[in-house]
Amino acid sequence: MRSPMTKARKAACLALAAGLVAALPSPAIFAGSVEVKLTLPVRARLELAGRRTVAALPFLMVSQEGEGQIPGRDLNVQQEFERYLFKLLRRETRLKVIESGPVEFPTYDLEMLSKDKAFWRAMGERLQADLLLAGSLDFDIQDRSGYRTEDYVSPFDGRTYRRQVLVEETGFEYDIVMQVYDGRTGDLLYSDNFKDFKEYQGENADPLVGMFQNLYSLEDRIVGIFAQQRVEASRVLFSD
Amino acid sequence: MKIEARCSIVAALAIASLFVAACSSSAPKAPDAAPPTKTQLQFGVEMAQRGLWSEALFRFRQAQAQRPQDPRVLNNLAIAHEALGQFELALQHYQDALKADPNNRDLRRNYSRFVEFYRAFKPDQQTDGSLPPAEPPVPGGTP
Repeated sequence: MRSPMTKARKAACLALAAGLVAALPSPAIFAGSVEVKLTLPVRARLELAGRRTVAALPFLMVSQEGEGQIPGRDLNVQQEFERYLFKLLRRETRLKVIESGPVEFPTYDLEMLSKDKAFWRAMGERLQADLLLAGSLDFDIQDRSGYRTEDYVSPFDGRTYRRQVLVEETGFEYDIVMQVYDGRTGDLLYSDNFKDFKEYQGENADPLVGMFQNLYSLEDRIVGIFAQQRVEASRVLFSD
Repeated sequence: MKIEARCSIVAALAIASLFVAACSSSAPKAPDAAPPTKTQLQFGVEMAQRGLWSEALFRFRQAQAQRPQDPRVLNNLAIAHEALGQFELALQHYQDALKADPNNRDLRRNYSRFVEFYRAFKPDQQTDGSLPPAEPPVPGGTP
């Protein structure tokens, strides 16, 4: 028969042993190699040496209606995007951002427009900008409601059945083509297509929220054109 | 009574070992007795894990003074230089480390990741061929 005193001492011994183990260096150090994180710089996609100003021109709307207005909502996609873009460029880059005001484009076909060097040169001259930012926008709201199959446990017999339920979902798709031109030569320096899709429960999800969620997802990529960024990388260090 | 005595001995031994360990880590050492390479590496790794890369680099340099050709030390030095933005030095140490141990998988992976980053960071050097190959040299392969 064991006395309570002995049990208490055994517990004390165990606690002491646990303390000893805890006092040892971390197991990762013993393992011989440790993964560490380091932050590394990522260059801006554009060479910005000697370039100090960027003029943002109105983005062309690609939607079928030919306008940026969301039906039933007081939301102008083009205006909202440009307001957001100016704020982003001013906050995240060292460039002086110039607002172009209304621009009469010679064509609304972006591909043809990108070849019109004379137009871009003239814009650069008029706005006194080293870089010209232009492109197109497409913001699409999709009703993705439909019937889905789900498991259902009957309260009467406790068995699982499959049934069809109506799920109301709204999808927001943002498709941006961004182009940067040299304000002096009219050359196309950079062109990329950014896309994002977000899905929300409910038939009447707020398009403004959806649009800004899309933009937030694309923010790093947009900033990455004009500013150096930092990324996290992992490496393996040896500890013995 | 016997069990009590045994437990007391175990406890005393444990306390004594902790005391010895504490003394060995905190006792002042003679200036010429540098800590062994392993201690330097371990301390450097701990500093790196906390993001204190300058201190980590100092420790890895101390380790290098003791083992100049050790690929593990060279690998750690390369990473510390990389974290501090000294990419030329990082490349040099990675290459030295690979020469010393071309079969080390972790080392090869570190090098590949570094070169991938470095190529994107210095694209203007691609044309003159001064950038390193993306893949580390295959041991025993044709040059």
